[in-house]
Amino acid sequence: MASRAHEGQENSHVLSDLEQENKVQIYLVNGKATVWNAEDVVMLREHFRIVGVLVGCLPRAPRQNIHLGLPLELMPEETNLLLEKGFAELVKEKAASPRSVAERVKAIDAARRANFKEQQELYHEDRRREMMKRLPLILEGKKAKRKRVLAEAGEADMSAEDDSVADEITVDSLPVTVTAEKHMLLQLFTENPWTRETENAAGDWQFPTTEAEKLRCAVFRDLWEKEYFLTSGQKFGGDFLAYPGDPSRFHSFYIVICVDFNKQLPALDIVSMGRLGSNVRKTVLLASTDYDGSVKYTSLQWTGLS
Amino acid sequence: MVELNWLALAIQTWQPPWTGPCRSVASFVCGFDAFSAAEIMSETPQTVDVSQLSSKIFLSAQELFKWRKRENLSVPQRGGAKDFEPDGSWLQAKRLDAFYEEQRSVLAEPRVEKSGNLVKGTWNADLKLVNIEKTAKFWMKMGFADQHRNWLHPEEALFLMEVNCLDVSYDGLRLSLQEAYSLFLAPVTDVTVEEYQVYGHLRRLGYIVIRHAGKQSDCTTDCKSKRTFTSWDFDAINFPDIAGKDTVTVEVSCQDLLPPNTCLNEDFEDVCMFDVEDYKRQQQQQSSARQGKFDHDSGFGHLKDLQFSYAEWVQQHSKPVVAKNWGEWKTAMQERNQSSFLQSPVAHLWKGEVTPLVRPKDSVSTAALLEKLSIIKPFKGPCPANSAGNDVKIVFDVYLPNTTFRKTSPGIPDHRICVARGEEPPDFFQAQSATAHLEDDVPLHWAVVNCGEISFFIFENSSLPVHTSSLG
Repeated sequence: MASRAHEGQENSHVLSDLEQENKVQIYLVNGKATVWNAEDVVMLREHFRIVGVLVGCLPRAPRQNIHLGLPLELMPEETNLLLEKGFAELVKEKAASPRSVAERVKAIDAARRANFKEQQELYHEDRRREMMKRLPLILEGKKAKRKRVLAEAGEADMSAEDDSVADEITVDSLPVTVTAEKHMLLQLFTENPWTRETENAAGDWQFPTTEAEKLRCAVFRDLWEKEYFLTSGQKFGGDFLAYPGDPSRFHSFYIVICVDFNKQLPALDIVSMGRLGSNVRKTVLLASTDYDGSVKYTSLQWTGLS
Repeated sequence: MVELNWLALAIQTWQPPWTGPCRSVASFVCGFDAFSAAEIMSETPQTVDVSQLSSKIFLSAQELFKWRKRENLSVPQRGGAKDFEPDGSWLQAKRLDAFYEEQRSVLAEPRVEKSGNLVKGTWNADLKLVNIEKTAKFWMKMGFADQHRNWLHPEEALFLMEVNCLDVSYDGLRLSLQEAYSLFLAPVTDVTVEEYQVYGHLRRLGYIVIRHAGKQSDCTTDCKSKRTFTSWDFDAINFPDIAGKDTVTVEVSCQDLLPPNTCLNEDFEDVCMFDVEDYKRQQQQQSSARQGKFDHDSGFGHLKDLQFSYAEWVQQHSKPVVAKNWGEWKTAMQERNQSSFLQSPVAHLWKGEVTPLVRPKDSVSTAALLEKLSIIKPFKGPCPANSAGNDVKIVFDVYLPNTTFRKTSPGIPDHRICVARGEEPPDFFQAQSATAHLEDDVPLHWAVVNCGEISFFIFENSSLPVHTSSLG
């Protein structure tokens, strides 16, 4: 399976030549690291264990909050890891020059007009097919109408009309209205459809700067290298949630809280963390970096003597 | 199949109308930027370079046609039965693969809409607003009109783009969602990404969300009261004189003007008897209840003997105070209070180390005594003004979805939202004084946004039970 093959690769943290050339592009938009391509989003998750959060509306059902769509927003720690390991590159788009814009306007105009023409033909075809299916009904309708008209006009001889009606009508003789422009289907682009004029944005990426941010990055990297999937722990009062496998299929094992090695924790804080963990059946991990830079963990377990 | 980036193109060569009919030639050519594929096919000097348009993204007419009616509108399930831990089983792997496949297809679905259902807009980079010509159903709850033109705020326009209702162009070129994100949000405009995410979240739930508009008057009651106030004609109302009478007969012009203790005479509909005695008694009761005294008639007569008024006791047991002016009188009273305290019947209680909490002069009413006992004192307004630099920015006013919403006079919102980052919660004064200046009871929700995840918090005031002064 493709994912197994990749597991071997990522353990040695080396990309194949092909992947080197086609690194995942992470766009720096509004100061956030975002991914706009569905393939990339799934690849990051399947092969690199980076989950991220979807923040846009889902095209097939835009007005609900259960499952959102592109773009995918990455945590700063996730972006940092991808850049450090060389799995992705951070880019930003250059503004298009006016000449380029003018060219694009012409290009898209031309492309769209061709598209419309094709659509009209397709609509026409579709209409014809429908009429073929309904031909018997149409004939019936026409016969009935003829009869009514003649009855009003007072003509007695009706039997002779039936055959002539059948002869006159074939599919081609029936008029098909030309589809109006308002029925033309337009595509609204999510990802930028133009070839990208991007430049490397690694210079704009300032993270991490403070000690707290560096600690979080170190903890994230350490847990990632231990094969966990990590997501934001805000909903559980922690920094990260650590999953043994993909978050869609497994519950998280740990709530990771990053604390400075030298910081004194009030006893009440430890009690509340312990309570939190036991209420949701997860283990609370207090993570800190030691003097040599390695990450040390302390887990809290609510227990008693009996 | 080799995974090269296909820069593929649908090309059309045009002939100017006066030379003959157009011929459309569609072809797909693999190439790189340098290649202008039109050069291969051109029959006329006029060619259009479409090499910049990626075919992976730009769909052909056949593909678009497939999407004209969405058949599958189901939303992929979140959660569901999960496994405990990875066990390397074939079934688990299969489920995972199915999940990834589903994600790939659902996320990659294009946004296709009939051009008649889309509203066209243009981005105005100076005003940082989107101008639209025609309005649609959304216009009832969004946007504003200015100088005969219709405008949308950037966050409104971006949301409409995401729900496939709006098509925005800039400099003649239609914007993709990615470009719109970089143009409509910070740092170009003053709508931050977090604020937009909260806006989108609430709009998807169905709420009506507009930018915070400051203090709102409740239009309905305001207007009504204004109207009724000006419609009174006081000269025409005959106020009866109740001094020195037992009962007063009143002619009733309209019944809702009657005071509460009156009843209509059964025989005459437009005449009623007003019992002055009863009225005076009720007034007395109310005032004595306020002072904490009990009236015989109200059934608490047996408690009257338990009342001890310190002020009365002092007056009975000391010389009357003589003074020439208010100032002298006040100081003399104070001195007398101090001195008589030492001679009062309970003075010995204050001789030891442990003294009572309550002094006799505090025993004015039960409420005053309980006040002395309370450890947690309720915070009574008005709140101090915001300390400098700590202003809480209220971002949105939220209204429940209803059809009577009017953009021009929205009224008092049902909720207010301010957006905070996940670092520090607000301190007490920040939380209290954020909405103090608005002087209404609309709850303020704090939306904490952390990497796309939103949580809402609210600080609510609760009142501790407090003794009320009237025991009637």
